[in-house]
Amino acid sequence: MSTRPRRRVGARLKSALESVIFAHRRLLLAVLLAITLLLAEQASRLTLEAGFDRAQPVRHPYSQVDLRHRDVFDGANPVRIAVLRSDGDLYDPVFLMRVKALTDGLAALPGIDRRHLRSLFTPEVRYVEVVEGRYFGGSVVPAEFDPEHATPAELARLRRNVAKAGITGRYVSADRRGVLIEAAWLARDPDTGQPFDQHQIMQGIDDVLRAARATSGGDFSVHVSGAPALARALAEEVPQALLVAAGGLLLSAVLLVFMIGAARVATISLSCMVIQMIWQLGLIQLAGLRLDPDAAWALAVTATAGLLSMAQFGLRWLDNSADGGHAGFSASLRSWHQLAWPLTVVLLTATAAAAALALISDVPLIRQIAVVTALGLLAALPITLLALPILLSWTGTARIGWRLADWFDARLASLGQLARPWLGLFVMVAVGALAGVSGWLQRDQPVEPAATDLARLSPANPAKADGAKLAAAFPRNVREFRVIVEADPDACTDPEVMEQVDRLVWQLENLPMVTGSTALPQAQRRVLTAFADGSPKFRVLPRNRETLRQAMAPISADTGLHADGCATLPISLYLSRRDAESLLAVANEVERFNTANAAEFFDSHRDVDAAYCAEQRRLRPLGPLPEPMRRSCPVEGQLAAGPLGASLARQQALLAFRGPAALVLAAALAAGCWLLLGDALATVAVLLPLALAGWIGLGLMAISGLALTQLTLTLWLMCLAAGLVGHLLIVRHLHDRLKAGHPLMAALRAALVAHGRILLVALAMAAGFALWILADYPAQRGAGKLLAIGWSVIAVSGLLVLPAFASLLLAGAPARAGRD
Amino acid sequence: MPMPNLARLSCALLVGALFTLPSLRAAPAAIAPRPALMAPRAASSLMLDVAQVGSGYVAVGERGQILRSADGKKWRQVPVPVRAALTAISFVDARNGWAVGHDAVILSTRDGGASWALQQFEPEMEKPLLDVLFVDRRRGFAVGAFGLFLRTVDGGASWSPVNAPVVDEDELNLHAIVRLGNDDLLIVGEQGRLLLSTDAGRSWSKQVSPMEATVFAAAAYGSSGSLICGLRGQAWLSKAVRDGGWQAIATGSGQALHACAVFGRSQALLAGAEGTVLLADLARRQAQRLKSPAAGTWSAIAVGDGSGATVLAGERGLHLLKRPSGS
Repeated sequence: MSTRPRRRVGARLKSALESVIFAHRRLLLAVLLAITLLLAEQASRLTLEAGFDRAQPVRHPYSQVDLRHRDVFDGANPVRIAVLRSDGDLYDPVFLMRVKALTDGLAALPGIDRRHLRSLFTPEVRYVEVVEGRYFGGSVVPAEFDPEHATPAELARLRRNVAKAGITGRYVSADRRGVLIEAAWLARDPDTGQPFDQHQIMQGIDDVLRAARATSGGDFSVHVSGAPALARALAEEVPQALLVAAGGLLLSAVLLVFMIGAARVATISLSCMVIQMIWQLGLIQLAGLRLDPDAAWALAVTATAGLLSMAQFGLRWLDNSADGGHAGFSASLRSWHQLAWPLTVVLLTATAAAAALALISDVPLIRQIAVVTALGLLAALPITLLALPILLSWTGTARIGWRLADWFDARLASLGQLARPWLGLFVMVAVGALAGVSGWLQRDQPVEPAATDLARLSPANPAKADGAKLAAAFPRNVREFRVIVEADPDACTDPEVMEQVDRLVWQLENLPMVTGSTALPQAQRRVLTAFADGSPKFRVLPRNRETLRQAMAPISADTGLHADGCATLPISLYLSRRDAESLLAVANEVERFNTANAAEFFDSHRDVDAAYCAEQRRLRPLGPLPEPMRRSCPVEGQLAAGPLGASLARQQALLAFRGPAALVLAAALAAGCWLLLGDALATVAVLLPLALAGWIGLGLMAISGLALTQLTLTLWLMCLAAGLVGHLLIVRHLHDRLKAGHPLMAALRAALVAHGRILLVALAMAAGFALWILADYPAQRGAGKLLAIGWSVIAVSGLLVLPAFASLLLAGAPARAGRD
Repeated sequence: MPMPNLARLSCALLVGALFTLPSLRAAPAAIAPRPALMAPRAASSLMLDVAQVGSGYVAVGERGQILRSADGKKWRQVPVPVRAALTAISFVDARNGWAVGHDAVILSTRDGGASWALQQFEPEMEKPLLDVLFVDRRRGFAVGAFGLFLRTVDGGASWSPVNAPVVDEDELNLHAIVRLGNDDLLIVGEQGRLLLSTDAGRSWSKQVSPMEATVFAAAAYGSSGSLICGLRGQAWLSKAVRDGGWQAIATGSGQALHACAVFGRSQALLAGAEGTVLLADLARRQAQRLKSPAAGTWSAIAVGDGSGATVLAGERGLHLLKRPSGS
């Protein structure tokens, strides 16, 4: 009852729009053209940039810990520069001069965060030495050291200092051929308040490197890693990636012509798709985003979805011009009348689904992929329902359409056989079996492998070799897993705290993948032996505060062993492996310690309990604790700062995100289906085959070697949202025909003939994406695989699975329609 | 640029003051002993003493870990009721042994080190025990920091401070106690301190010492002599400790020597800081440097008798020492 007035309003709105659009075609087209030019100008200013924290789930507890301490330990925007000699060791006056020049040059760059600049030539790199009841400490390279006039004795002393400082594998390469310079940039330019442009930072580093090379010979190599280096490396991948994508599109275009069966319509649809992408890129720039190279793959998803909608309009226009012998204008008007409402609903539904995903995720990359998708789908709407109808209205219908179209129609019609119960049942059993196999395949799918971004660069990309060289020469730097203890100020001198930290370190050191560690208790023990003639029997943490205070004298905050007035104690673990499993093992061991230690602590400290300490933990980051909240609580290892911790957080967050994301997506799509179909069973008939396609697609990705990552998962969900177009239109047509009293099989044939061909268009696009496996750029190969598999699965699901399910679910519809 | 550079003496005094200072925060509750963590890498952490027991070995380390081995290569950790650092062990036969350490811990075993019982745990004392010696199953001594000196006559069931002013008057660290060939007892420690008892520990006398710096270890030599070693690569030999007559061993090293062991007719192994391992010919009073099986500081040596292996304990754990053949 209530739908009737709404229908009438809708109908009136439609006819009003219809007359506006078709009466003022030239004006409207001029407006669209103006908007296109405007957005094209915007799009031309869009920059490609992989933000430093783009993949970090910001609400994840690990990320919270990381963010709290990043400024102290790594700086906002860390960069590592390895300087390696090609021949001989680093104790060479000329080489050391270069390193000093590089360090000084970096220190002078604008925006550099000097607190985080570390190299052999910064005074913060120190050593502590204990000799028979005395301890000595100093910078590894003394202030008065002049590399140019270094004597052999001074070089020998430097060598000894390096050994004592324990910096081999960190600031000095494992093979002693070179050094590492750590630098970091401020989060924002202090002058402008704007975030630093990665390209600008890299430019500054390049200038310093060039100057260093100019002052001396070139028998050393420099390897830079960090976000700025990655940004440049990715920029280098762009031309080839675009070339491959263009090649793929060309193949798709050729196939598209055959699928549509009319070169003119295919060309207009493709042009509209290009305009849609221009709009999308312009909107991204208007939204103030910098396009992430990973989010850029979403352009391929929305281009496909847009093309499906446009092809659908084009096909209907062809049908109308052939069927009723309409001329271009009236065929276009008729098609608009038939498709405006369903295409609007489909595109807005998919847009809403993408937007919902952006809302529930806390990962910038996932949000950006979803936002880019939403903007693309949104842009597809005016292009499909304004630009395309206007362009087609001026298109002549003479000698258009090929015989080929009839051949496709015949094949599609034959799929109507799937309405037969036994055939339908067979399809369902087969799909069920496939779904089971898919679940089995997904078991072994790696989740967010801790591969660096570098691993996804082309083999020829110099940044890849740089990263590998740096990792090999400075293993401690890239395999560092940081656990942080947040405690009261002055925790360094609290024997009870230090005993627990020490025990935590020891427990973690006993894990098979941990090869070593750096933490405050070890340094304290070493210093304490100085008070007892260097006897190893005194290498023990004392039970009183005064002695610990003595031990802290030579251990300044520059050592990185404590921060925030001793309220933050980092534990650095060096891992032999960095796979997801190893990271998880460390995390689990930390949790095990936390649980057991807390139980032990509460057992002997009856004045506090778990609730009190949870409250204290909550309050601690907010500022100084109020007096009643200052009782001692058990030490707790906090995960997980640094790159490896971030990787673990991503992995855990991704696994937790999978289910809710799929549900939110399904809910958004279901709402749209319900709006258009007004029928629960019909909604199920759309979504069930799509969901099965989603699940089976994941299995296919697993066997094709794609890991489950933020990118693959999100891109796949976006494909499914965009894939709604074909499914929904078929079911709507079927549902309408059944309501009108058509027999099931005839209705199914009609629906498939009317809309099935856009799924063939999806297959044509999939073929184009499959061509991406020829790319050198691994990220593009991965995205190509995903998109090819994805759109194929969606097409097959629409053409084979949907008819079977829809027939079963909607077989009763005519009866209901009859009752109405 | 050298940092605050404390003179050795003032340092010793300071540490004396520090370890005895009452802790500023009242201890929240009596500290209860907690069992040592069973750790796969126990054998490669800081190990402080090792001894041959029967045909095998027993070693103790910094986190209360006790490990056993049949061959000195493969070590297996056994459960221990405390996690305080254990500094020394002493066995009177293949079954009965004792271990001591920080928190004034004393442990005993009756099954060759397979299981351990706690005899003493006094963390509030804030004095570590540094060595232990049992002369038979009932009578034993333990020495430690700041002149700490305990004895038992009932196999460790009860321990009492030894009343010997000459031992504890200066509150010096006592690093080791050994029994000489004639059953005299010798304690060595800080400031070159040598204390001798010729009556099974009832009375003690200060000996004239050849060393001013700390003596870390001592070993019995011959019928009544001893080899001592300590700071700055110093090692001295006496053929009869009661008579003095100490003669220097030319070690050729300036590193602190934390352990010494006499074997064969007149040979000794000395080990200490920075991977120092020396083989000494006591007859010629000369030492040669051996290749250290690992870096870091060594704190104990167990020379296996017969064909038994020689085991070094130290900063990097337990390692077998390859002695040059023919020695």
